[in-house]
Amino acid sequence: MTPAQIALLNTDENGLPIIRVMSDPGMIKPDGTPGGFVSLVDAGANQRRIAALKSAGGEAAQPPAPSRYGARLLSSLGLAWLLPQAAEKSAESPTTFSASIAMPLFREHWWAAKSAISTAIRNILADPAILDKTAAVSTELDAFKAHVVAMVAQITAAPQFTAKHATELGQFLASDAGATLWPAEPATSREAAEKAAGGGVHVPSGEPASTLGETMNLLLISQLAAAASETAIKTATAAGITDPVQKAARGDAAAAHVFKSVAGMAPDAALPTGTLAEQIARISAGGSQLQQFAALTNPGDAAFNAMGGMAGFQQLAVKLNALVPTLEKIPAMVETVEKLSATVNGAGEGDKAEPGIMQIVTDLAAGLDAVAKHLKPDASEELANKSLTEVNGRKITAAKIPNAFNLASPTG
Amino acid sequence: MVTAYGRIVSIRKAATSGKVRTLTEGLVWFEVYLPFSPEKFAALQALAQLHTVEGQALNFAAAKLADPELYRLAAEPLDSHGEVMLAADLQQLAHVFLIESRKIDVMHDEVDRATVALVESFLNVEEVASPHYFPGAWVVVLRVAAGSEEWRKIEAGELNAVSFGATVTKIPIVIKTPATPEAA
Repeated sequence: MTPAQIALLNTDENGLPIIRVMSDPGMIKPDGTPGGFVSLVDAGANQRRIAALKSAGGEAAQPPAPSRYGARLLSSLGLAWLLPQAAEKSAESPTTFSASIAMPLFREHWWAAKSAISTAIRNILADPAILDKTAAVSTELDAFKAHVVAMVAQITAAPQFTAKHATELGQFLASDAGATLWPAEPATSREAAEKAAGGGVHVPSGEPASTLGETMNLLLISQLAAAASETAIKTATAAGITDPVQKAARGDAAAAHVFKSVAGMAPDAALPTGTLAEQIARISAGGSQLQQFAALTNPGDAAFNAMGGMAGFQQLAVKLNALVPTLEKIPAMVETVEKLSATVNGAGEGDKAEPGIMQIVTDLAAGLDAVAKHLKPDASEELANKSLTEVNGRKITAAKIPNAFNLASPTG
Repeated sequence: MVTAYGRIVSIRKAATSGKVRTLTEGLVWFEVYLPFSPEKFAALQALAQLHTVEGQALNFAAAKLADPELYRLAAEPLDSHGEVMLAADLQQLAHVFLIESRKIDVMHDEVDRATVALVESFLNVEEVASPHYFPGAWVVVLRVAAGSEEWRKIEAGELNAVSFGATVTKIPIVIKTPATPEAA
């Protein structure tokens, strides 16, 4: 298997390579009419892509493109202006080896790094010879953070949110144009918002805006907060601060700043439960509601058409797809943190355990997960196997919906 | 091989207007899709296990160097989406296409072309066993009006493959490693 083929492989949520087996083929549209086509196509695009991937050697020095996921998420939210110039085209379809190999590399390294830090912490806690477990864990976490930050900086040029970006986004969302992005508005208002934002915002009319809008809003805010937190920690490290508690405090301050500037909320009010992980857990509950909404939506019925029809549903499906992988990880992430906390206490070090450790772990997980999300490729493709609904007894996969609903598997 | 799918096998200009023998149509043979055999998938899994260090992700580069031939064999059926279709499902796809559709469009625009006709469709199974096609391949032959835009583009190489659109259920198969004992 060539690097080009490896780059084309799909991966699961753990970054392991998967092959998708297409089964139970049919050619009946959801409305019951025949619809299958064999299509004459120009496969040149594919061939050119493969050729570019195979001639990778001379292109290694070129900066990789930002991730598809990050670019598409921002674009779909009308925030393409946050992306680096000229990034959108390459984000849609990487044409260089560097861009295409960035994600597989990151997945592999990210997976290995997470495994390594978990193993190291577990061994530290279990090793009776290590008396100062707090210091040992903190040291390993610092090494882990430094490694991941360096890795990200090295292998990708994914959108990196700085405090300046967060402030700009906050100002934008606080404006009239930004505010209209989230609630369900009449089409004219949405179009105005899209025009003002310089990008496409496709929120189907009639949807439960309090759910979708709030969830998307909170998700983005939390991503920004986590990214800002990570940036603050990185900046503190670069400034020579080595105390993990101090660095975590700076990360918290940066996150609080994002919540304040974006949502116009006081930090205390925006973070009632204290940690980013808990904030995100609340978002997860909102995401569950979205999935239920999607499952209940029956394409073709009057109510569905009234709320924007197929096009609207397609956009909703894409947004749901982008959300689900992230949301699915959150319970496991929180559980891991809780287990780690219990382990620390169970090792008899609870009284001595530095309270900041848990905050570091929590913030680190949230911050780095946000980075991973920005680097994640087209999440909707990864969710192709998640059936959102059934039509005429046939499961329609999410990935099919954005492509003419029934004919979406160009393979040539 | 990504480019093995939907490939043109041959093109022949056909004079089919009787005594005048005016060139009016062209024939194009396509392999629409190739089957993915359970044996090859097993080979891929075995290869993954063989070259995976416990607790680490599969090192494709090392595996390729260690066993390039097996790797080539195992990886060959992957299409450009990293997806495959088993022979039985490919047969079903070919059959339902004839039963329910027989439509030919261009670049998935879903506009049936009157200038392009499906004149043959078969699976290169054991009963056929043509050496010209991949074993088990779904092959179609299209007859294209010579004066049509589609034929011009085929001759110019602008239309050089076929693709199919269909409803499918996609089943993810995690390539097993010692660290991932459960395949999806």
